[in-house]
Amino acid sequence: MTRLITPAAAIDVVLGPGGAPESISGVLNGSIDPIARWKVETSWWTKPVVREYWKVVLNSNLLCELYHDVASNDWFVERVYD
Amino acid sequence: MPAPYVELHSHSNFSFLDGGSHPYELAMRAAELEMPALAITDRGGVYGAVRHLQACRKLGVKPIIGASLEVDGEELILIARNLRGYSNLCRLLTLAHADQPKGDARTTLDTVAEHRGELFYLSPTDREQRMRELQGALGKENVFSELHHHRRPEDEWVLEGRAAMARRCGAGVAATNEVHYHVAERRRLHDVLVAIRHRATLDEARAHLLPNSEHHLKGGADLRPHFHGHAEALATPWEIAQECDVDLDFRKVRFPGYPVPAGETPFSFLYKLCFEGVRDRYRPITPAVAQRLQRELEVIEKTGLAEFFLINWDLMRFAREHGVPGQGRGSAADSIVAYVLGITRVDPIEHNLLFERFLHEEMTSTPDIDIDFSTEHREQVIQYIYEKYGWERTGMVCNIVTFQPRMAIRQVGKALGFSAELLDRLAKGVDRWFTEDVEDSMTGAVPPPDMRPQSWQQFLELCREVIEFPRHLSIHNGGMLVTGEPLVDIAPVEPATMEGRRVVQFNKDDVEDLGLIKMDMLGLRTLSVVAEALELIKDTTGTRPDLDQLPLNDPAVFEMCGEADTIGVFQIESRAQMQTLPRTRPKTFNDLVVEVAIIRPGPIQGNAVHPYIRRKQGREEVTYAHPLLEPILKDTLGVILYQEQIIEIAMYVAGMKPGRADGFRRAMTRHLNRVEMSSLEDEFIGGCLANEVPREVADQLFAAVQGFAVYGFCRSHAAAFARTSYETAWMKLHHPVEFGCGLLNNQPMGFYHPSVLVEDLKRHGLKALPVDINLSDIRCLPEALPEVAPGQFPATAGTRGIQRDMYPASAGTRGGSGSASATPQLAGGPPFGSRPLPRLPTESSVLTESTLPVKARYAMRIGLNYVRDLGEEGRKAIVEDRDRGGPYLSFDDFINRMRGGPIGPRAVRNLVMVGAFDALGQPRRELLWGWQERWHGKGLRRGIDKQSELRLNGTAPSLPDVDDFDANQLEYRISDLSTGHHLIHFCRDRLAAMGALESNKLPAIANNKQVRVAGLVITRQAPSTAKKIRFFTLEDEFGQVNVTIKPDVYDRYRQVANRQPILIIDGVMQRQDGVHSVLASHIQALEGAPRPAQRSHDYR
Repeated sequence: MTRLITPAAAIDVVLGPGGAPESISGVLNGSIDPIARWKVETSWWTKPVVREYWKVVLNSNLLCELYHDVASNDWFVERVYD
Repeated sequence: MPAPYVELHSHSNFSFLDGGSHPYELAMRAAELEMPALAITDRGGVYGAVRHLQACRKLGVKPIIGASLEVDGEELILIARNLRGYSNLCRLLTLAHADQPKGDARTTLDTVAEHRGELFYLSPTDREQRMRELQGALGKENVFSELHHHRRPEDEWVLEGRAAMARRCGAGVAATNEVHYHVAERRRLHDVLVAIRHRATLDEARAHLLPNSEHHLKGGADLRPHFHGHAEALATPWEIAQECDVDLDFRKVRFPGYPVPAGETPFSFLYKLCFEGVRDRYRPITPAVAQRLQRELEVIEKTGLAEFFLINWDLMRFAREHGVPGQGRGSAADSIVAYVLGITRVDPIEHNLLFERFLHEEMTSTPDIDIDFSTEHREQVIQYIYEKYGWERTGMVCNIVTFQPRMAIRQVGKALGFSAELLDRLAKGVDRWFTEDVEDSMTGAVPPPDMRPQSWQQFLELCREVIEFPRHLSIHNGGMLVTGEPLVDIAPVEPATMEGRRVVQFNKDDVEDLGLIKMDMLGLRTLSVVAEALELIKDTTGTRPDLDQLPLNDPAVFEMCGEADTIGVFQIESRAQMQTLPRTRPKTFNDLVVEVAIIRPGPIQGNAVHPYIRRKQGREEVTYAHPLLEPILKDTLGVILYQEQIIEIAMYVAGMKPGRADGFRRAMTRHLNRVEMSSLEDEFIGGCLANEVPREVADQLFAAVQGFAVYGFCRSHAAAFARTSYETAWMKLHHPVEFGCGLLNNQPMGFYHPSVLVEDLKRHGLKALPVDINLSDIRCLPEALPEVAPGQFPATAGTRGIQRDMYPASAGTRGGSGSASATPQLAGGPPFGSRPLPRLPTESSVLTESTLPVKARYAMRIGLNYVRDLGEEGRKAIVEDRDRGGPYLSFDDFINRMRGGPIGPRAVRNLVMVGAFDALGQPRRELLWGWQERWHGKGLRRGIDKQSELRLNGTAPSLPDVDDFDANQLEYRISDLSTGHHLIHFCRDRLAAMGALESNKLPAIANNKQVRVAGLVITRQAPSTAKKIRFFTLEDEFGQVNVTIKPDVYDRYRQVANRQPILIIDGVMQRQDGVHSVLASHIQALEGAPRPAQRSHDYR
């Protein structure tokens, strides 16, 4: 099952030396293992959306999707697989 | 150290509406990334291949040629290994386009397999079965699995899956980035192009847009992180690239064989033809002629171009034999061989033309022979070539239609979701004559208040970026390729929209660079005019003039040109010419050659026109920026006027060898981008400095050459054109009615609207007669004036149409009945009607043969081709019916005879309202009463029985007559011209009350005096060389007025100036050297003025 969090919930992220997220806190907390990443850039003609997405495993047992909003430099969790 | 990464899958903007960068931009980016090779793989074609090749070579990047093709519904990238592979690719692309909607290319694996060989294939398929099919059909060693990573969610596992599949199949893997633009920032433009392709807004096209901006050209360093464990995929493209070597040089295969008589070679046959021809052209044959001919033949033999000349000789021979008017021009006119073979009509010895401009031993490109044919007959010639050389070896050169400002505004704006009303306003507000910068073109355009400034800014940026982007393929008007090898081995061929036409994927510049022979056969309407006028002169005088024998020294012709009485004259009728002629006062044919060459953007931008004029008038000393320039520019008083002079400057000032100098000239005559131009500049300046030419002189000289080069004529071209200018001027002077008929019958053409041509004829004291149902032919024709007794002039028998004397004596005159009914007037103005229409001469005004000059014996009868909505079938039907059954005796007679024919009700109404039946006596409005019932042949409406309330009275009620003004308006509306009064005649009283001067009073106004002028706008110009100054020409019943409008004044009155047909302009008289114009300060429209259809011709 996958659950979309609408609106996406803001979180704090600690980044590792390579720029990948290592741990998060806020609505979800714990260490994370990134397993995939991708980039979305769209709607530049109205309200630009530029996001770096990360699919991560939180605390070794919860699969989530986070994204980094490049424009605001904020992080959000958008989806959990539970 | 890892192997370098090279990109094998990239789409330039020649993947129409699917590529966001020019080939040179991609090449430049590849060079910046230190990429050793780059492929171009546009969708369905190799349209950009030549540009790619040239750009890459200049930058030290190895060019790889390929294409992307849809095979069984999936994309396949094909890369040519060598020329044979390239030929296979061309054949495949040709087959893929055949039987598809225009622009689409798709094929099957079976077809690809039939043309396999020397090609590599990259496939993004994930299906193992498909991969095995490809390997089986195309060879395992040639097929690679294409791996991508564009940072999409699925890319990671798709890549792994595909790599695993490739392993199982034993297929090589090759990484690509499926590039659609050279840098990430161009992604926006790519999105817009995709939206345009889907005729949608960006929001509507979301599903078709790429999800991010990762499809730009990347180097190995950027890609490596995404290809963990697949290092070989990043190395394979370079391995493939190293095996590829395609050099598109087709010089060896460029000619089809020309069949020569037994025992002859192409050269010996050419030699024979030349020595026959020289005896026709030159009497006597002087040593100079003999030496020149010998020299040229030696060069032709050394360069192996005998067949090229034979092909063109044969073409002109065909044209002559079939009565097709034609003449060669371009640099071919420099050649005496071309002259004696009858390809050109200008004597190069007499006019001192430089053979080396046309051909020299080091020539690496093919020489250029352009041939103008009469527009009407050009198709005949094209068909002859197809038939003679075979469909396999002939095709039309393409023309790439590119985005221009108006199209850019509309299509980019639509993609961005702007409203149709806004886009319409913006596009219409753009000067039709665009400036270099689309934003400049929209000066004064205001974005809607609710639009985000960022959106407006994006819109402007995108419009600017997209200008000159390829939009779609079209056919070049007259460029035809004829090859020695089958065409499809040299270039892919697509079906054109026109039936039976095939178009190659290369444009004229590409074709030249490939060393192929292109025959440029353009349709020149002037040649149709000349051909027709000569026939009409034969009708009216009994003799058809032989223009080839016409002496080019009639002082009256030059006098007329010097007076700028040149409306309708080829090449010297424009406003700019008419402002220059009184200053330069050509007195000889060579002066006319300069005149033709001088009013081009080239000399204007190169700052040559005014200095030349001043020097010609002796008002300025002839100087040269450097002594080396003197021998080159002496003939043209120190100014650059001819392309030949560029070659000589490149040779003798910049020290280039002749071959390179010609290459320099050719490069300068193309529309180069900034990078290419800068490279040429360095070469030129370097050469000048080596010749000890001071830097500032070298800079000046390059600027002059640069400004000149793109548009300047070559001297021989100017000479060929000047010949036609002289001939048309001669005809205008000596046979104005026949010439005028030729002009009117071959529209659209020339600088002016047909109504202006008619006004010019009237101002010369000649008559234009209105459309008459019994006297008008299909076309405008000379008509003998009634006071000339039939039979006294040989031509009356030859004049087509019915003689005037068939009309009953009681037939009324045209138009208004002359009754005392209310005289109409323009709103607010005094009544008019005291000025009668020009009447045809009556018995009391008979002119005798002895007093009437030849040209005044005839009037121009406006033909049925000047009746709106009548159509070609309708015109023919009327004339054929008249020939069969005699003249129409009444309107009802016409209706009865033409019922069921190809003439619709609107055409009938137009015939009546333009006055075609006036001579038969009944007022126009009466004729139309109930006519449709009679047209349908029933008293009642069809299909409805006995509805008495619909039955019309037998007699029409009394209806107001068509008066002079109405008749004038109707004639403008239906025929687009006036045989009677000029439109301004009806406004004259009002204009006089406002202080507007008649045009014929202006010569008396002193320089710098304030003046008010008014008239119908007949031309609007904004030449790109004029720094945004506009030039308008107004016309009234007496003549024309030239108006100059500076940018600030134009901006203030832009809407009025652009949209209103009749303008009143205040300004200052400017007079110089017998030429005058008004410098505008205020522009207004005449309130309540009649609104004729726009008849201004508007130009850059």
